[in-house]
Amino acid sequence: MSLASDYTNGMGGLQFVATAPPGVGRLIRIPFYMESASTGFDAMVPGASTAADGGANGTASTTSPIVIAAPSNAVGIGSSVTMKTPQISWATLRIVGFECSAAKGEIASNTSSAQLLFKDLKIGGGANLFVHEDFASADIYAAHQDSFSGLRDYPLLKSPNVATVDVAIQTIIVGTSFPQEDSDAAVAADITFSCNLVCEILQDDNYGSHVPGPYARSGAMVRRGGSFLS
Amino acid sequence: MAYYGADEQVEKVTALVEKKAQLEAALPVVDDNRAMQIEARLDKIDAALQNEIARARSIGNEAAVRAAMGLDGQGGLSFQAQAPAGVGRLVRLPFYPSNTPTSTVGDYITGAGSATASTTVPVVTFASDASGDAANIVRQNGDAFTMKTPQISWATLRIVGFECAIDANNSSVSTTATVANSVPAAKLVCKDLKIGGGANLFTHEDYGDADIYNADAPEFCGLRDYPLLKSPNVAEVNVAVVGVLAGNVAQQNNLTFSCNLLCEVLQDDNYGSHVPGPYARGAAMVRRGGSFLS
Repeated sequence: MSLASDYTNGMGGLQFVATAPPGVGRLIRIPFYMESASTGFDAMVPGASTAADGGANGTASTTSPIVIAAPSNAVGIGSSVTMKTPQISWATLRIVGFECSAAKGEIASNTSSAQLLFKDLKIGGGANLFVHEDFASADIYAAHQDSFSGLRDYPLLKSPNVATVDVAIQTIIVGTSFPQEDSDAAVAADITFSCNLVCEILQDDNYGSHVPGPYARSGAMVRRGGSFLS
Repeated sequence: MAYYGADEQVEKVTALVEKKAQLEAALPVVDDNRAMQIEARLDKIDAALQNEIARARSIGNEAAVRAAMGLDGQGGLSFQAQAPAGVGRLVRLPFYPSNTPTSTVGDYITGAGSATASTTVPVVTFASDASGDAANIVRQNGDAFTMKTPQISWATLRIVGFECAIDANNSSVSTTATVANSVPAAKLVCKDLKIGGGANLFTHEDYGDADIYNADAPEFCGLRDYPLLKSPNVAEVNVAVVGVLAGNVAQQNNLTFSCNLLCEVLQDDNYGSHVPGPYARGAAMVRRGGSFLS
């Protein structure tokens, strides 16, 4: 064993594992913003005034990704809203995942909270990248899980294209004992959430070209045949 | 007692094991013909390794050979545990609220008190001043303020990440019967991570949910670049707290946070030069072209 390898190899065949940063331009997050207002969804912008009790305000924002969704006054799914990423003019990205971070209260003992739902993750109006045609629970894309949920494809994201995703909230329980939209204490039943696209930077106008992670390299993305492929 | 050829045998076994790992890694991504060739080669390598174990027994070299094959554990098991990063790697440099953190709604509490700058305590709490609502639970948007790292005169650092420790208390706050238990936790947002007034290292031009940089996440979030941090330059980041907050009932729905820069120590005036982690070495940071690079 050489002196050089003495300093780089584990002794006796041991290896040492520590969680490392992903490297330059890998596993970056691009936030989705609620650019158009919708009933029951309010963007929370630092320093901006907001209605104290929530409800059907419908505030949009292109600068803050935090959105509060309020349960409706009827059980079942409420209206949906489309969230968008900004145009990324400074880079070519490869989309490798989608994740969301949601916080919700328990409302009351032994009751179910409202549920956040996603569908139609699309790039530039293209095909749906989710494997579910309709809504699915946001829990499968929850951040801080041990693994990322898969997508149907890892397409490129180049300006002027943007990514869009539809969000809705399903109300489980309504009644006088439970907070409702526009009720005095409605905010306790709110869901505060944000969602992000997980990407690799392939080419950055300012910082140059990068090597993507192995999961986003062409050798690992074998795609033969299929009506979307030549 | 070591026999002649023991070291050479270990080298041979190590090379076979490395070749086997390379072939196994390639197996899922090659076509059928190549896969058949690889499987045949793997069979030959397995047979060669069995022969080496038999030979190792005869010359008393079995322990070293088994170690080289990664078979140290009882019954061929291998063990994995999270290891420390090594000297000078993945160090955390705290951001301090060195600018006065004020907000028109709510109150940022630092180590120096309410709405007061602190250069010694990195932990900040946002406390809502909500009142008037029956449950004293409201949606509020705190104003943003800038936190900074101190000047590090004793080392040259490479920035490899950013992380936040977020302690959101969303326990029961209600004084009314309509809300029995908890409320959704507030959110920390951040933007403009800059070094010495340079370009933004975040990939979001505006605010992003700081949860993507949460220290509890199983992986680190990427940045646009891994620049050097040398004194007198400092890092700064803009942060704010928004969301559902509880007011003057008991301030139970506060949000407490701190932010840290994740760095590699490249050169330390006191402890010398270190080898950075592989993610921060030149060969792993391929950056060709780009207007910021020569």
